[in-house]
Amino acid sequence: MRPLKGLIDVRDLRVYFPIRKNFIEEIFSRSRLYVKAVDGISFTVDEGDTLCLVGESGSGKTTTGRSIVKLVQITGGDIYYKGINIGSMDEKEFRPLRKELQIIFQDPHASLSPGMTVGKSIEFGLRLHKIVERDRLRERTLEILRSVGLEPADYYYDKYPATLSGGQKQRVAIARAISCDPRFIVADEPVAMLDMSVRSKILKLMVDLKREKNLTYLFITHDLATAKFICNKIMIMYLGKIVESGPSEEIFSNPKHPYTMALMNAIPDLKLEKREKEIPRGEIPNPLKMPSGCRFHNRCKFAMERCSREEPELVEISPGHRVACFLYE
Amino acid sequence: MKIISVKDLKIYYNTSRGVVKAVDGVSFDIEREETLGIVGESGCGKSTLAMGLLDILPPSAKVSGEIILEGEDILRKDDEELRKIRHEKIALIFQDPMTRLDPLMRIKDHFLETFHSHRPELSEEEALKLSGDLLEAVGVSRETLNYYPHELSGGMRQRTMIALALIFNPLLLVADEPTTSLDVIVEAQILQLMNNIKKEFHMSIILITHNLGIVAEMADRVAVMYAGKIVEIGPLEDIFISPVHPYTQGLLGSVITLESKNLVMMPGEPPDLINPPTGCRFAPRCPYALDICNKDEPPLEEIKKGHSVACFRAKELAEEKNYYLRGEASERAD
Repeated sequence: MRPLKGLIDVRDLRVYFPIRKNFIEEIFSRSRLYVKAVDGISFTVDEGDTLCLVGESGSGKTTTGRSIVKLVQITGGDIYYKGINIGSMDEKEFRPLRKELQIIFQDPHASLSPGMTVGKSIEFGLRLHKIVERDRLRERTLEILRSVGLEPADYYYDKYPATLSGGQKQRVAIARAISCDPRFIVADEPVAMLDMSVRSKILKLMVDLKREKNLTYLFITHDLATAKFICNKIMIMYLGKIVESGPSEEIFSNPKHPYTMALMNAIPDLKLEKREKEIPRGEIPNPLKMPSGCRFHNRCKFAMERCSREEPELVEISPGHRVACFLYE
Repeated sequence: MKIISVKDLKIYYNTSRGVVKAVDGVSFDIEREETLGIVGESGCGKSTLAMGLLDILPPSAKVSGEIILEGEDILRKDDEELRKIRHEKIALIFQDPMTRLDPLMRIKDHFLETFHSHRPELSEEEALKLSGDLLEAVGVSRETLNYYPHELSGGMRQRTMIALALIFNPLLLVADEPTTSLDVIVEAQILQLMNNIKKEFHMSIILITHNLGIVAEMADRVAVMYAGKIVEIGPLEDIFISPVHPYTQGLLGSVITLESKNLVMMPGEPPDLINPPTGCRFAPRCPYALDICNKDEPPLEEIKKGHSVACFRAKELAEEKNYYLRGEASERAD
């Protein structure tokens, strides 16, 4: 076994979700069907990194993020946090660590309890993890609100989420995530539901907080432009597998996997010269009917005969830059 | 040739908190085979405007102004005439095709229902043949007619919606965030398709979106909406290369692209449409605001051919240009 590395070290992570069948089928058929949401991925996140996980819907990026903070049951593999295997821990064992591993969800309208004021929502975690003394709760909460730019903090303290805008709600969600002094934050599409002008502000807030509090991020997004803006390392996922990973500048200046290139090509930008785009055909396949061999081969313009038979391994082609494609063997 | 002229359109909603002025005096024209991009952030009234064009607003909405289609004001039409105009003259595609297709109806029933209500003389066989042709024209196989909506992928559903919208070869296609719920690669496919059918079917398109990248790719002209009003309208090149209105400048500067280094941080948030600020609605957030901006509302005035701006300092800004794009605002925010 290779030595443990980084703050988070994920090894051969697999998350399969069983397909529920109806009663009769359940009795008569032996085989169970699974959606292999994450199918054997390994990566490390070093302290201070912002690692972006990029992919389309159904690529397994959210499931990967959620398994690290133990919101989904993993099927196989290990997840090490500071050298401790949290993958196999049960909820009780994991609880003391939960405050160090936090998550920010995509939809701020759904992730805040509508019946709790902003203040109460933040105090909940502080109290649960006994971060501060009871008499300092309010004081600490106001401090946190100020640090995410919700000022005057007194005013927001007593607000209910329904009275806030999307951007303000996402600030509360961020406040809640940082309230317990975490080391590591999974940010699952934190700006996808926000307007352009709000997006830039939230991203800036996240960058500032990271610097101030020495945070490490796993930033999940479908948007390569956002990824490029915020991360120093990047990982591209397709149908439960990593197809390419490496330092951000390297990937953006020198993309290798045909899927990465297709993604980059497809982003609408503000340039006015109309270029003919080469867009791969089809859509991400149904994970129940996983293509044989390389999972991208039926949409890939470089596909060779071999690609439909064998699955390419993720191999290092230059320092830190890994690709899973037979073109680079 | 003008396909449609909207004049001083106002759409107000009565709510328990007061009157929401969702669209407040909007005017524009659309030429044949032209794509007009309408951009703005959530709550600027762009979707209400789309529904207003087909007069499919909820009963709480009060509409005034004119929408002239082929010389006639469609707001003065009765229900039966309107029913004909919808779909035959103006068709609409929405953001989320799953919520617009009936989950209990096969795709073919969606087509047959539309044919039946607009062309009752057509036999089922003919209607199905036409439907199949349309599906093939948008890149979906004929067999899809027998499927239920849930059996299709997101991209296929949106293609099917487009085929349904094309049935009567409408003059105008109103597309309200047509690709927002799709992945980037599928989005690019759908945009390409829309550009192709526009030429093939000689349609005009109103493309409503918050995504400026899509507008850059699709539109001939752009209208920027803020708090229920058009603040700037003009040819795509003018708006994207030399935007004049401070809001347009800020919006363009805050888009994250692969080239982004600094991002613009526009201060504040859009106003409440029940109590919009007096004067210019952007004034409280505007780095250039003068006293007059807080008192009087700036009219939408042409600064050069086809390019109009609603700003008291438009002339100055057009010359001095691009406070935001020079990067001062982004530095300040750092």
